[in-house]
Amino acid sequence: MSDRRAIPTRPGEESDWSDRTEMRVGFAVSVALHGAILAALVVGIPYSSSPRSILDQVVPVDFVTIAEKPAAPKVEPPKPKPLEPPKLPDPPKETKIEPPPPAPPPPPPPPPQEAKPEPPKVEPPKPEPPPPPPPKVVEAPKPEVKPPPPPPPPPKKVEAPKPPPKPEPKKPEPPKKQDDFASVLKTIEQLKRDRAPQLTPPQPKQAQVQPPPPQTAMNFAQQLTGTELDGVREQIKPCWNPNFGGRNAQDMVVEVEVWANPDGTIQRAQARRNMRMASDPFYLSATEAAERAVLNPRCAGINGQPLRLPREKYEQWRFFVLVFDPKQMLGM
Amino acid sequence: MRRLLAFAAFALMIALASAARAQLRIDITQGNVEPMPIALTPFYGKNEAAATAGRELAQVISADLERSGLFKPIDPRAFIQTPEALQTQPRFADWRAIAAQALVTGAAEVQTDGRLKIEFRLWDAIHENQMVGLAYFTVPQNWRRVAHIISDQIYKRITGEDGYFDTRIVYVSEAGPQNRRIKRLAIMDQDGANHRFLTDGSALVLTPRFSPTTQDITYLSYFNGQPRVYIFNIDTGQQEVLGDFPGMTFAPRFSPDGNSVIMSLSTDGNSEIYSMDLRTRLVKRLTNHPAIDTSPSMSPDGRQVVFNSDRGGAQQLYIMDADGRNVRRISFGDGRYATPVWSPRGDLIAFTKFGKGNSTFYIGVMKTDGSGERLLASSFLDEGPTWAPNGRVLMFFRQTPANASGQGGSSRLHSVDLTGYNLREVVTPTDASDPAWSPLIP
Repeated sequence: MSDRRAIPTRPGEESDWSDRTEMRVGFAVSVALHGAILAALVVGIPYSSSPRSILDQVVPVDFVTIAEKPAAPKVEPPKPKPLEPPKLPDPPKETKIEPPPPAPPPPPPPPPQEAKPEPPKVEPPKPEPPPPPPPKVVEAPKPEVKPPPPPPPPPKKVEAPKPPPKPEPKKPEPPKKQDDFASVLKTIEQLKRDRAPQLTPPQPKQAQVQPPPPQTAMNFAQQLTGTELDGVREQIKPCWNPNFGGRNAQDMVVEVEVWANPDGTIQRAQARRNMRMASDPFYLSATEAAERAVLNPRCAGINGQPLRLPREKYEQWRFFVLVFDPKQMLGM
Repeated sequence: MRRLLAFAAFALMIALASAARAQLRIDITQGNVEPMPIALTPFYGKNEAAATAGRELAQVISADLERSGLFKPIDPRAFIQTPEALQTQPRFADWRAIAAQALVTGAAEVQTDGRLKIEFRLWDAIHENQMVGLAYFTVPQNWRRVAHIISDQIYKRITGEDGYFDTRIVYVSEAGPQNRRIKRLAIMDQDGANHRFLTDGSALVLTPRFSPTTQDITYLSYFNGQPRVYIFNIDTGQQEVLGDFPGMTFAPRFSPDGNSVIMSLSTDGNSEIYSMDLRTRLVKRLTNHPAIDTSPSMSPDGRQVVFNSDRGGAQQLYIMDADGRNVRRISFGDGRYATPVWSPRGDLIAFTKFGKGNSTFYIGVMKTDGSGERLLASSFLDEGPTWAPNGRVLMFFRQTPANASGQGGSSRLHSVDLTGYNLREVVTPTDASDPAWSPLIP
């Protein structure tokens, strides 16, 4: 059996196996031929009578040509007709006005100032209204730029009618309220995050609110405490309107030198001058805002609220520097 | 050796002692985010006509400054000094008493030649000095513009940055039912005054954009069913088509110098970015990628282009050099980013973001390296931010659907400060979309 299967002998004597093989070959040839005819019918005939296949055509999509030709072929495409445009009048002519008029009329009596507990003011900034009691020293009435004497004239502690509120370190002192915003720059997602239930009280921020005072050594009794320094910060904060959305707002760090009277009122405050004030209007704006914060009588100022600092430590704060730094407000 | 140690200890003591005597420094790291109180007095006029003009001037200036969110005009009923008395140096204590940090005084006068003379002074009520003082001569009907110019002067002197009040807004005015919406180009002053239509609504208009240097706008119009980019000069009324391109051109935007337009051109479903020099009309291809690249916006120095692309799989923001090289992705947040616009200040890029999974649109800003992303506004659909010319304020449009399925509703313009505060609607007579802020009017 195996021989017959392996090698067919003669044509008439082929085995069943040989018969089946031959049938398969024929069947395959038949299928191939039929397939070829069918393919010819499907593919060939429809195009045999058409001029060309569009597949043969080159599709002219060449972007490079666009770049090289003058792209507006002046086919004058239809234009939507615009309505008549709004005409702008000529721009106004601008001229600078000379400095303010010199206030000719006799100055009216100074209006009722905020009732100040004591008037130990040293230097009234006003040019004309004669300061009622010029109690202390001298100083040309003009508040001009004269470089301030580095250490202020030692304020006589003679007057100062009211004893300073010295033994009150235990002021009910609001429990250091958490900052409303680590960054004043709002982002909606951050607000949502903040709204989410907070399991842990946000105390890390609080920790960094008070930088350590620079004076560390010696005589600790004379050192201002963190609470006292925070008191000054809280006092100035409401009057400081930094332009925190301005360009490079994080770089607008301004140092304001402050000379204080023993009663806590401010004798003089001026931002440290530098070249940047002349060249950078943003920085000039920042220095003016910082000075306004210190000089605004609603917070401190020459005739305003006295600084909440202990008188017995006056030597520590008779001259100090306020460093206005908006970085933390910006979340940096 | 022992001597050396003793000397070192002594030196240390001296150093510590001098440190103890060092000046006290107190860091102020928190301030007031409330607007700055400012007193804007009516401008003094010697006769009724001038006094009326003076009152209106002060009202427009006050509204400008209040709208900025940086100033809080004080109620005039609290004023102690009269406009006439303020023609001399103010009594600053009176103004500090009502919390004013700054004071604006002025006068209006009709000249013999019929022109109007308007002068103003800005005073620092705390420092007690004049910060700026200027006078303007103009035709009486120009008084609103003078008011905006004065607002800009005040804004600049106090904040240090240029103002944006003497500007205009062009936008797409929409009216009619949703299936037959009429869209017209409209223009108005930034405060909504002097509203005018620029097109009659016969053709659909989209994406108007102001030239940063001239009073030209470019926009897309489907006039006669053909989408084309046009340039329209507001001053002359002249209009021209930018060119006939194969495919569709869209998202046009001027280069910072106004000499070219950068836009998308789509053929065979692929969108690429091109720039066209308006003087030579030569077109240059900038991107070459099978993904969709669109919404290009150039940096103020003209050296870079931000655009959005889905080449990374999702729609994100990319930056490339102005010649198309050095493409790099800058946004990596969840969701999709679109319509990037480079700030005129150069420091930020505004964008529209579609949140992932919450179907909310946002208007946001990020630094040009993609860091510091902040989302400033969000709603069902907030889209299409445009910068004020000083890069401080953004305007965009907000669609509010009439029902839960998002159908119908209204579309309105809104503005928001860069800080995320002071979100407010910009009132328009009709529904509005696609706002574009002009540069300061020359």
